[in-house]
Amino acid sequence: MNVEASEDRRSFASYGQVLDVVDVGRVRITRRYGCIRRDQFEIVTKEPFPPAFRDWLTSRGELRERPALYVIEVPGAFQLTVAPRAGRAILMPRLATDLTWQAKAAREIAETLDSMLDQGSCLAIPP
Amino acid sequence: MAIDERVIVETVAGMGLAGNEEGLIPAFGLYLTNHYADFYNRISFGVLRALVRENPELTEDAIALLTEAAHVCAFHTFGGIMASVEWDGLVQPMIESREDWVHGMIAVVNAFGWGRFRVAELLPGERLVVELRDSYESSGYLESYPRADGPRCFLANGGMAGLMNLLYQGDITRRPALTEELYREVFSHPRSFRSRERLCAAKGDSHCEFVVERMQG
Repeated sequence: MNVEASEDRRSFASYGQVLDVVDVGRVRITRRYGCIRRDQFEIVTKEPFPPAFRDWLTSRGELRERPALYVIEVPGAFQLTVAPRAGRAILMPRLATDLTWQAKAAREIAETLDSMLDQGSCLAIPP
Repeated sequence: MAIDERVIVETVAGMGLAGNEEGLIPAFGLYLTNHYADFYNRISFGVLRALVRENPELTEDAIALLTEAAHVCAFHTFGGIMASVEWDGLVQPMIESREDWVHGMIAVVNAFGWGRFRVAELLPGERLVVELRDSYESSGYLESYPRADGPRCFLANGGMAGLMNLLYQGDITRRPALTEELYREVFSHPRSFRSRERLCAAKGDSHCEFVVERMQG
């Protein structure tokens, strides 16, 4: 995530404006302006999220789950809302975190998800 | 129609939408707040009464201001909801037609507990009639003031126009960025939608009813 480029754009940004788009393997992160102290991070794949991703998230916070959606709540850090079949999630950081940490958290989640997608592909198509 | 309102209401109700330690509800891609309907009503009706007390000729201006606030609210809130992860996971799989976006949004609004909305008529691209029971605006009005001489559900009324404008004027199905420019383009268009509250419980009707139609241009 290009922090400097985002910093320049955020000087004139309004709510929801795209600041940066980064691909982490097969995962795309779109960073949008939220307010002066926090952004929103959309995490998207072209395929459904694997169940292992949900299991990994569960270790990080409190899970609220419905059939079509689940939400991971990490107090003081962020909330991640996931539509697994749609391959889409939104990270909404808490104000207690700074912008650099928010971008790092989004990237860590994307890297983990990407590694799980790779793993899934290897299992589906043996070498 | 493929929208299953029961599933939507049960899912949203089961999502545990409540304020976090910041006092905000991060949901539907928005930062929602949970506050008393009476608080909104007090401000809304207070504005109306203050302007009318100042000069009765300002009545229409006061209503126009409150309606404009509702249009802005609908644009960002309904637009944000229809672009959200929650919409993608829960509502989008049920959608078979453009009109299902209206039914899906009405189901989400009912899940939020803003009243009991029901689509009575939907003529694609032309007209929407929505009935509303237990409107917090009309019931709130009657708790504080005598029976009104006109409709009082300004937010719900503007919200219904906003819904039709998002769908048929701004084409929210294409997920446009919800910018100020788009707002002006959509709501200033000579053929954009406007809503009138034909029935309102605040003026003695059994329920509230909104008729949304295009301006004649």
